[in-house]
Amino acid sequence: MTVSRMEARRPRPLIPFRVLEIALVVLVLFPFSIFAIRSREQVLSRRIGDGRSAAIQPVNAADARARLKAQRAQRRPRTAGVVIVELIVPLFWIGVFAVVGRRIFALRL
Amino acid sequence: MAILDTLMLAAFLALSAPGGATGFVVHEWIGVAFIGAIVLHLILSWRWVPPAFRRLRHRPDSRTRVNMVLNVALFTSMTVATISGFIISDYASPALGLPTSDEPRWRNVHNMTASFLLAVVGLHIALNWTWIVSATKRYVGGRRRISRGEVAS
Repeated sequence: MTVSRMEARRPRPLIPFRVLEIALVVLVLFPFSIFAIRSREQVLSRRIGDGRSAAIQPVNAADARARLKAQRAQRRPRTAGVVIVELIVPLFWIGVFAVVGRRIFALRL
Repeated sequence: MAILDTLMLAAFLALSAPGGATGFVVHEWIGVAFIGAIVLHLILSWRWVPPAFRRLRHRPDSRTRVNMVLNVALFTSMTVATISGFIISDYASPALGLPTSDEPRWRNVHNMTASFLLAVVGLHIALNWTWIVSATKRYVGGRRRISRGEVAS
């Protein structure tokens, strides 16, 4: 029996694999990315003390800036490890969106 | 163009990690330099812009439409991030004699736009992936040819 005949006998899936693949990427990675970006934004906001966290609620804008400067002064020193880790985080998210986008664009455009 | 884009990606990564990777003084001055890089990137890519608008007007395909939406989103977000960055600046704006604000909402705008930019830059890279790969191959291939020539002479 030839390969094409074997393929003809194989029942066609109800949902094509490609559709499942895209659905998986969209359902799992995309909301996760949004969640991660949101958390990253919150971390950044907390770092600079913009008043989102109750613990660092600023009294007024000038106070918030003074608090921010104090926080920056207390920041851990920039070692090579810290620099690499801080650069990997945005690179990772750009990579996630590039991979997801390439997958979607390759199939849809 | 490929070198400029690589430098822009590296600068964007550094800008996305303001505290740990660069420190805020360097972050702000990289941000100022990034404006020049964006302008240069637009000038060098300009030959793509009028044909894209013409295609969009006369026979728009989905790729052209998506590309246009992404580029507009990228340009708008970059502009918002740059302006809000100048407004909340501690070092660059005072040095350039520009007014700043302590209003925390501007920080929110700056951070949210920066986070949104991560996604848009990723998608911009995805849509132009074929060009990126061919430009990289051309650059690497060109260097190889030069080194062969040097050996031959």
